Amino acid sequence: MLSVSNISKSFHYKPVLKDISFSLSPGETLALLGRNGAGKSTLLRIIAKISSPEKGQAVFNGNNLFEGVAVHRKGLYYCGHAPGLYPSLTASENLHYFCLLHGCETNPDSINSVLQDFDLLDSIDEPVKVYSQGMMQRLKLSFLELIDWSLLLIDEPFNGLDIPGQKFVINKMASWQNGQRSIIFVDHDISRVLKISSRVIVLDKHSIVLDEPNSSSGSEDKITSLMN
Amino acid sequence: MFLTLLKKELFVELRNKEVILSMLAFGLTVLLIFSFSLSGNPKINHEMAPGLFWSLVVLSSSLGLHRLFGQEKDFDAFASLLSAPIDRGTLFLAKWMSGILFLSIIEILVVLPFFLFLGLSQPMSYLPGIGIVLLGNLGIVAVGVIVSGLAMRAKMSAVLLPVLLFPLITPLLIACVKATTGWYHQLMFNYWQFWVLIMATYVVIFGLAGYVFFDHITEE
Amino acid sequence: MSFLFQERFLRILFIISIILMVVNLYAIFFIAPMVPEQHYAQKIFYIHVPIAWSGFLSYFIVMVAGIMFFIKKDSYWDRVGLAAAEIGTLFVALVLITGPIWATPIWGKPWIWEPRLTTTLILFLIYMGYFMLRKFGGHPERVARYAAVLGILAFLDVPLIFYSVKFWAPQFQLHPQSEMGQQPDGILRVFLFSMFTFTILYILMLRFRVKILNFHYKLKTNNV
Repeated sequence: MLSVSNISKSFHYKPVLKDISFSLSPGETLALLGRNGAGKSTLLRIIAKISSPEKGQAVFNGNNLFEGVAVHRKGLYYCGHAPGLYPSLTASENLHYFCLLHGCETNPDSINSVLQDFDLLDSIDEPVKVYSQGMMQRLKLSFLELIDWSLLLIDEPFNGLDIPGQKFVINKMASWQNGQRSIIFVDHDISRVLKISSRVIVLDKHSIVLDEPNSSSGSEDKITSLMN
Repeated sequence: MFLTLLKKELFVELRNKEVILSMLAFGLTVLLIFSFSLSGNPKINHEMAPGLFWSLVVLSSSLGLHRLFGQEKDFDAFASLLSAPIDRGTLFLAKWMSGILFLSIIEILVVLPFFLFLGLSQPMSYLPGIGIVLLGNLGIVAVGVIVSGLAMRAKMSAVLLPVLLFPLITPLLIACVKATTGWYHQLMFNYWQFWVLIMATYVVIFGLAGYVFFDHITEE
Repeated sequence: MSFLFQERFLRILFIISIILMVVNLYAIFFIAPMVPEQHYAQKIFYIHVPIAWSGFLSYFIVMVAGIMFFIKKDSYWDRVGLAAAEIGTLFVALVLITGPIWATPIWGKPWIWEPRLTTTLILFLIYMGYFMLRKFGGHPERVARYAAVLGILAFLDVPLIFYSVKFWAPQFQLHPQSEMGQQPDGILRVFLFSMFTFTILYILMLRFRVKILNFHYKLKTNNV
């Protein structure tokens, strides 16, 4: 589904990523771990073509992501740290526009039912800028119910969420993963990562130091020792 | 997709009025300064009107262009826009068209006070003037979107934008003033067709450049 | 300093350009015939025009480097572009100084909106913006792309600037328009020799600057 090869990127002459290569099959939920500044967010942004790498390639469903036309990105959805929404538009307006930009038609009923599901119906007519961080996070995730995606890149999905919110997102991620889709997410909580991911990649010193399916019994110790 | 983007640009601006209000307020203030710094002699004003008009447009456009990506920057909606399966050239075209629309709205709003404050006489014909102004807008905003994109992520973007924009648009500005003078002072078209040609060339070059380079400008 | 002279080509070029420049100055002052009505003021023209030529050549190289940067995606071309922009701006600044020095006695005033001089001034201003963008544009990897775009746009703008200034004020067509072919042989030969000398000097400066920038880059990326 996604195959990334030899991606390198530096900021201010300091390498952030060095020759990152991995590939992802449908049905995988990949957790990206690493210390602050290890380049996790940058890697996601490069795959989403928000940031451009110095070298390297990414192939998504057989199409080159970096040198092809924009349609090659169809099916890929990026969800960053920041809200990524228009602050002055309301929740439903934001949903409506971004769905159109991803090539999916929406109707008010489906938007309303999704917003209800994500517990945002109360503030449906408020501009997004007055939302709390948790509400913003839920709104970002509610897109995934409306658009047609197969690869999700999500940066710290649990950021700013309370415990019920985190549980809600964990359940959602499990329900999205229908065996056809792939998810790459960045997180810091090792025990949570082990619970929801099917594969773990640890980045350290700008390279992949661990890449293995999350089934072997010693995973937790290995990851913990790498992260400290 | 282009129309969806354009509609979104206009809708966001309608909700926010960030670009239009900043340009309008600034434009009127500059107009006030112009009126006072001139002697108030209608003959001199008539002579200088085309140049003053374009100075007004360029000065106020630089303020609006600075905020062209403002709504995308604040909450990083730009990242969502970039990762969506939309061609970057289309993004440029949508920004270009919406920018032209905002600038035209400002021009419509300031042109009446402009004529009143400076005591200018009415032009004999309107259509050529509208054409010249539209062509000028096409050029200014084409470069404006490119430069605004370059300055967007920079420190001091408010300073950087006019410093980059003004010298790049000098040939366009000269052509705009000359063509407007030709029309307003009722010269034969032969005398100023050259300037329309320069404006058109400028629009084509920078429109294409923006379309081609927007990929490199927008990415981090 | 010694790393600048490691390359044999540069050592030879360095010596050649010293010799050329000495010969050039001698030729300008002692061989070229005096132009009667301009006297010594005319001598600056042998410096002014070659510098202007090298400056524009340099800005052309900025554009070429920008295009190469997008094709090769190699930061080497960014450094070539930066080096050419720096030297080009230095030369263009000298043009803007030597122009008025010549114009003051000849035209009677230091500044006239003459198209070539005005185009040079506008390019100089565009490049002020270019260096500001380099300084404040963010991390150098991104700025490299931005600078490449701006370098290309700036040079695309040149013909438009030139023609619009030229017809903006036709009364200022005071630049020495006479064809060089019609000049006396003595003047022409010295002039062409000076053009050649300054082009060699320019190539040498560009090579040196690129070498220094490469060295900086290696230091910053800890690749020495």
